[in-house]
Amino acid sequence: MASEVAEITLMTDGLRFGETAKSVDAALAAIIERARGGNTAAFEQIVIRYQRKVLATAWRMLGNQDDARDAAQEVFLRAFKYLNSFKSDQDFAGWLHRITVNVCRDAGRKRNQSAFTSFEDERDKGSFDRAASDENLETAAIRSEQRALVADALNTLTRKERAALVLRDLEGLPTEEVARILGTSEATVRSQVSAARAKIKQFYERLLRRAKVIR
Amino acid sequence: MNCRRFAELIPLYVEGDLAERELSRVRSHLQACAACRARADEYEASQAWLRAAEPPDFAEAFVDSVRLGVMRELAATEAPPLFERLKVWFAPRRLAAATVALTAIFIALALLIYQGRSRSGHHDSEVATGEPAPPVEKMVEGPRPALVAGPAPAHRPRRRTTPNRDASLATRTRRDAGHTSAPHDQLVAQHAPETVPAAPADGGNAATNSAGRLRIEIQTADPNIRIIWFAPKPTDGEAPKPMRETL
Repeated sequence: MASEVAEITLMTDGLRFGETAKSVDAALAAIIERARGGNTAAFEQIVIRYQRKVLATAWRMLGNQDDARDAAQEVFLRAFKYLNSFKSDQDFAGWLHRITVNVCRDAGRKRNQSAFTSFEDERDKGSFDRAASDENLETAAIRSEQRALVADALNTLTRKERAALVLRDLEGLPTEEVARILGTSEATVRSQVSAARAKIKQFYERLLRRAKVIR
Repeated sequence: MNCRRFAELIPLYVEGDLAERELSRVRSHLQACAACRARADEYEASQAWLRAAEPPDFAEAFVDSVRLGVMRELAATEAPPLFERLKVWFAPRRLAAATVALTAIFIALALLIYQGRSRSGHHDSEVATGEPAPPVEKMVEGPRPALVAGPAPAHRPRRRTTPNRDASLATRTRRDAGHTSAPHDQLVAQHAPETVPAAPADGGNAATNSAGRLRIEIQTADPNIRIIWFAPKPTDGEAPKPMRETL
């Protein structure tokens, strides 16, 4: 276990001090290989490395922290289960991304809604910005409200539109990769993304109009 | 191309999702059309607003709860319950386990049947004679049993043959004996291997056929097995040699 922790440090140090991506990939490949053999300590390193990223994607897809955490755990459990199907020449982050999207889509189906929980729910639980203790409270409140509004805007999309928009615009994946992850064509992704952007724009304009009225 | 057609392309234009040919056309149109340019600006503003909302800065404890949950699940998977472990152990040995189980069941059933039969025969003997009787095989192979003449015993053993079977048996016995000296109820009462009349003259189940042989029938506990002895009629000073026939 101690050696595993040492390797984590090595990996993050490598990133911090600008080691090439190739050497990082080699270290990751070695860890993946050990995890593939059932080494849970090695797999724990993978979880540590990607859990924040997976949480962020799951939060964008599902809209609240509790669901995002459940989804993230499911993502890693599936990843461990199907690690043998991962090919070493594949991009591990992309592979994990696909699992994340699939898990979130399954979670959305189970929940039978594509809705975010409301901002009020999140605010009542005090789950936003717990880590930002040093941040100005007013700024933190504005950021939290903005997130909640974006959550409401994403809530106006269909599940497919939302998945396409999150992957393309918020995760920044190319259209080709989004199409592969969602199991559809690039033309369909473009169509879904176009419709989603139009809905977001409508929501944003309503928001601006309401703000003018209040002033 | 009119503004309506360009309006459909603008959402893709603002994020660079258009092919080169369409992109240049849209650019040209936006330079000439103020309304479409304003629309494109609105899209860019809404997209910027969308991106500005980063995911919450998750607390370390919250992030770590993912790892803890995953590792807990994996640990539970690594040490499954006893039943699960047994299932996994037996999985590749399913055929062998099934064979052993079937063999054990077969042996147990055979023992049960064997014990049930012995007990039943033993019980019948006790009912008829009032004391424990040796097994049928011993009676057959041992010294000739003492034949008892007379009417059927007061305590008749439980009948296992049907009336029709009894009737045909009686008929056959009478035919073999060559006369009808034995009453019908005495003939059909021969179920147990222990009570057999000694001589035809006494009206028992032993009869002498026309060849002068003594026929003795013994019904075993099993209704399908009847032991029939054909013994030569004893002459003075000579013990009869029994002949055995099992139906």
